[in-house]
Amino acid sequence: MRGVDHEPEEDFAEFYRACADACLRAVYASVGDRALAEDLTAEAFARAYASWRTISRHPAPTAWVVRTALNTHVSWWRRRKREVAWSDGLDLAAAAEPALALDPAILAALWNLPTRQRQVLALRIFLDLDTETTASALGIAPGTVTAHLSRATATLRGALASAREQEAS
Amino acid sequence: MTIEQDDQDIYDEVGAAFDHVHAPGDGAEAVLARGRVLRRRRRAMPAVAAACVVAAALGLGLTMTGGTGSSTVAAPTVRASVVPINVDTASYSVHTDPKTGYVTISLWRQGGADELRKVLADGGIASYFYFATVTPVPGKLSCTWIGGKEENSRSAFVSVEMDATSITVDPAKMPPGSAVVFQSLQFTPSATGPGYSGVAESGRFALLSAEPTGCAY
Repeated sequence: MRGVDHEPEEDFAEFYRACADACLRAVYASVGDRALAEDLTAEAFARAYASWRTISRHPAPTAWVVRTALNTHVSWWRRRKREVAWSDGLDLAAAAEPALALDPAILAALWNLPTRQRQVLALRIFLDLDTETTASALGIAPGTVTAHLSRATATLRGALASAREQEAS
Repeated sequence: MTIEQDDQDIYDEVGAAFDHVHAPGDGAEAVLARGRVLRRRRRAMPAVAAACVVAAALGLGLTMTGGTGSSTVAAPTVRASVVPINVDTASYSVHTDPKTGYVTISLWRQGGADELRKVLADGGIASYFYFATVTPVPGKLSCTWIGGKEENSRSAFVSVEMDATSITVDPAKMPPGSAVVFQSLQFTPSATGPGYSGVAESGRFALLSAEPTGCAY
């Protein structure tokens, strides 16, 4: 019957169940705001469902979802012409629920990274994407991905080591 | 990507910090509901647009014939020699529907445009893909094709999905010599202010009377 696509719906629901947490974490780590990340990820998944016949054939549908979420973020951000520094602390949801707050040392280390480095790192950590797929997802060259990941990892290592030393002393 | 164990330990530590972050419990239902709305809206759009085109064409026909509507002229079409295509690469997918002959082209990333053109040409579809990064100009979201005039694409383009950068074409409805073209502009984030769209990128499919030689922004 036209208009009733039960099978694609089940297929998509399975994809959502399997990947929603990882995509949300990648977007959250990239944008720094839990509530915004939930909205953007939900919108990206909704767009994926609306085009599911096409997206289901995508070589890396999770990468498509995260890229769509991040692009939506860019549009959302620019539409409102808001510029908020990461150090200002965006995560009101986490602040309201201290039990769910992220480790402050990791939070600070992650959010002190340049945006692109943070995005590359998020795709590597939460979606386990390889260089080619990460490059495709972010629309940048594979060599740039490698460079960003290397710099981000080095910075993160230094920041976390420093934070652990301070904790110990 | 070669991952050193030290690096992996850091990734594991950061990843573990997000272990308590889960998508909302009712997320799937909300997403499906929103997705159905988007899907309905997308399906409705071509119908509305087609109705507008038909209405405009009828109006034009009535005007040209002094109100009798007896001699409207349809654009000539030829049936392309359709060779079924079924290609999946990391950059694009092209599939011919064996029942309808419709060809669905999905672009996953910029690479492989020349190869894609060849694949489509083998299937009887002339094409051109233009990708560029530009500094935004107020009110300007697309570039102007050089060497081809834009045709009415309503009959040749069965559906267009910009979220997925995918298009379904009926090669039999493409006018002779015409080409399916796609432009993707990435806007540099430097300019803001009145008149600027605020969008990060734009993409657009079109049907041109001939293969273009470029696109000017």
